[in-house]
Amino acid sequence: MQDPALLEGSVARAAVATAPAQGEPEITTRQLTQLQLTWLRFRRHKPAMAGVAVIVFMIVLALLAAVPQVMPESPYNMFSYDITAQNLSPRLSPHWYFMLGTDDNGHTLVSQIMWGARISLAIGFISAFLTALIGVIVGAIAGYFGGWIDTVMMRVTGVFLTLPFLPTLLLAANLFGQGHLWVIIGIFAVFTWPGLARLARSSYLSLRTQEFAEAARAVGVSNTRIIFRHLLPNALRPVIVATTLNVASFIVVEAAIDFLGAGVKYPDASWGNILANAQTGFSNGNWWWATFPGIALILTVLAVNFIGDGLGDALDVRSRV
Amino acid sequence: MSSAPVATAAAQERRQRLNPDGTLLNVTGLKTYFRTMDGVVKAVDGVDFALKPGQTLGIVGESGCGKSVTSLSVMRLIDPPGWIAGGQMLFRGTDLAKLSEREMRGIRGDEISMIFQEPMTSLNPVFTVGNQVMEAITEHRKVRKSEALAQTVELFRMVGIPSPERRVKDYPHNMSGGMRQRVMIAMALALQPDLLIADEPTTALDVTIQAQILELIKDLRVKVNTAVMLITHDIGVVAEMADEVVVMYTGKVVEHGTVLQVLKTPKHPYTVGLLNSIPSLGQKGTRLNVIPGTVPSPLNLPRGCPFAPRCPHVMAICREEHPPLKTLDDGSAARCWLY
Repeated sequence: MQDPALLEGSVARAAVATAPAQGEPEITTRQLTQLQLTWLRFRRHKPAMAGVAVIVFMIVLALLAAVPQVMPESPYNMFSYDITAQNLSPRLSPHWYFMLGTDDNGHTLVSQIMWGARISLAIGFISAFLTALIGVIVGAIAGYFGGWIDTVMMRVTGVFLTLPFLPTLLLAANLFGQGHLWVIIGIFAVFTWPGLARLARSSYLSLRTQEFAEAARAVGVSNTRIIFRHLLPNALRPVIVATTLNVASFIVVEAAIDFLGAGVKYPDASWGNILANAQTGFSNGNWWWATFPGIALILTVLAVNFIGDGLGDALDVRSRV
Repeated sequence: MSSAPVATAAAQERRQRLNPDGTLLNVTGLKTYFRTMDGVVKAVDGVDFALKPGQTLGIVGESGCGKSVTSLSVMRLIDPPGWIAGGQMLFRGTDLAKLSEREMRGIRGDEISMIFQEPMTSLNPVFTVGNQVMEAITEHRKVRKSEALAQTVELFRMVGIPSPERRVKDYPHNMSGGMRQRVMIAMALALQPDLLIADEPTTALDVTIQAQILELIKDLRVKVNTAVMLITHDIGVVAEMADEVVVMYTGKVVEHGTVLQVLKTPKHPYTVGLLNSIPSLGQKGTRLNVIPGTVPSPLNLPRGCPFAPRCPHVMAICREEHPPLKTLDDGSAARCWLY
């Protein structure tokens, strides 16, 4: 709380003493941008900051998986690598490498979890982004224009909501190739955008009647610009929060469909298919096999949810610094 | 205002033009209707008025008489379920009612601009006030951002915002209502419009700020020679500002004349009632004069004169037939069977 901006309290300005030419110290005010204010509020949300730390850690793991000096193999291809070879750096001893144990075939779990992080995070973030993109565009246009445009777009949205999720997913997986990353991402986006569209629409329905929207039209601003520049920042808070929560649910659902066998397949590793493979592990006493990928999954989902919570508070313009 | 952004030569030539009859804006038979569940509401039903350059026209009436809808119609900001059902709005020889949305967008904020009633909500909370005024400039003129900013600072100074260089970086929530209304006025005047529509510009402000804002609009009218369409229910504001007055009731003009004619010798019983209901000093202890009854529902207007049920001079014909707007000897006009 040492930040001078926080000491000032309820007002979104910070007093900064400057020395003008006359020599008399003059108090001027420093304006903080909305972004800075949001960051100040977010930073004080402890669980959210912990969540950021966890996600950053997972992203680092995911990225390191592809660095040959650290993880010189694909997730299940361990025996192509000679552990005794000299090119293992001293810091990365075999102990580190087998820290979390192996599966039944002796493939190390560290490697699988790191490669799994790539899939889980990619699916979670990319599908959530696409979902938000489609949802906001549809919802914004429907809500802003209203009338028959709204009716048509919301009927289409309704049709998408009636599609049964699992059968469609299995069908698509068979049509476009099982376990294809982009098929899964596409399916997630297709099934989830209607929710975001309804959320964005409800924001726009109230925003379009705001006087500042009319005032913008009165100075000659085009509808497109009003929708995407003037109103979008005002509508973004629920969308950002929902999108964050979508990341978490996509990661979980992706794991679930892997588990059911419709998702990512060997030789790719995902947290879901490690768990699926590990079903036999517990009965054999190999408790680590399911436990560590499970912990990675739970930690990530929890972290994303905390971040969503923190963002919800931080993006509330009415809340004080 | 010498630093105001320069329009193209063609646009400047166009801005010299007036209607053939010498007016800047000539509205005839304007009809704006709204479709509702219970039927069509004729919010504005055949309104006529005209404005010469630099002139101020006051439009007066109770809530729901169609004042605001009239102003929004001129701006072509009527949204479904409302629509402009008829009439002509001749502005510089072109009918605003017939322009495409794109052409209209070029006029809004440039040649015609508007000040809204609610300064507290008319500014976007997520952008700085300077940004919003700059946008009004850059939407219509090809200027560099630094130029637009310099002009914005100049405008802020003109409308009396202290330390404008710093205030342009403020967000709306950093400003008081009076300051925000000044920002709105700066935005409306950014491109020196020829017609300024002020929809109850002082209603949401307290009395001292009201006086300052009115003084400011008066001042700018002289400096910029802007014609002003002043929508208000405050007779005091009209007396202060207007050259001509239009009194509206249930979507129709019931009286029209110079400010002196209307305020000194009101013709229509509704105008008389409006003027009588203003409390005056020394009236303490007596009951406030009011017009009995309420405005009839726009869905269920009486067959004859819509004011007949409340009128102290009501005659048999009033309940049967709607009176025409009759021009009187002194040049004013009233819609009443008494004349």
